[in-house]
Amino acid sequence: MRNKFPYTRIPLDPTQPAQKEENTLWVPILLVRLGCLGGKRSPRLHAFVDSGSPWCMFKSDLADYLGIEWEKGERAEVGGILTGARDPIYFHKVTLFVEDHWTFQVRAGFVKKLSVPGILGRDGFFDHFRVQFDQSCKPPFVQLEKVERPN
Amino acid sequence: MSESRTVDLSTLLKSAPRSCWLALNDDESRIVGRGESVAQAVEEARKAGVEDPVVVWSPKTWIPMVLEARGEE
Repeated sequence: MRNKFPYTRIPLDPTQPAQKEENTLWVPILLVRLGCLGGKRSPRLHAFVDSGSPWCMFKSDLADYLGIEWEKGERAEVGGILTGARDPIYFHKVTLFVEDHWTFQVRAGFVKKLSVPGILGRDGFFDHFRVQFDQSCKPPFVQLEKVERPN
Repeated sequence: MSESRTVDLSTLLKSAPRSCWLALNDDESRIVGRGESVAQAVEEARKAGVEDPVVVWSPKTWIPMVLEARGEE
């Protein structure tokens, strides 16, 4: 079973002088699917591994795809470390399929203005795995060790 | 320990349509669909013969992001 996943390289638009010649970025992305109670599953999507996020979050478009009435979920509010942008987040229980190797139930939040397809955060992802990031090599990689625990 | 392949999307996504969902083929080397919704992108991919695409959101601008989120419950 694979447990070591190289980062994915994504582009950067040349918008800031501080970037200099850096026009790409390596980011820790895993392929995941979401499933809902009715059994429908999403396509595989890019989800960022982000220990800074308290939850697993996904763009609300994915809830639309699954037929989840996402705005009926438990509501909270989410923002980033930069002051300003905030958006409602609505929680639902979904099934998370990680790299087609691991499957478990999570409480995930759906956000309309999320700027990436998905984020794998502390509650729902980091409590299921021991996660090691290694940026000392190129490409960097993230290594997962599943921790067995009751849902 | 086993290791999966490296994915370099920097060239493919730089010239891709923006502010939409993209569907990629299995090894993420080609764009096989796009749409305003996930369903539209998947439908285009299936018409192109890719039954199980990988979907990504293509933002208006690719900028460095600090992804930490702060919530209020």
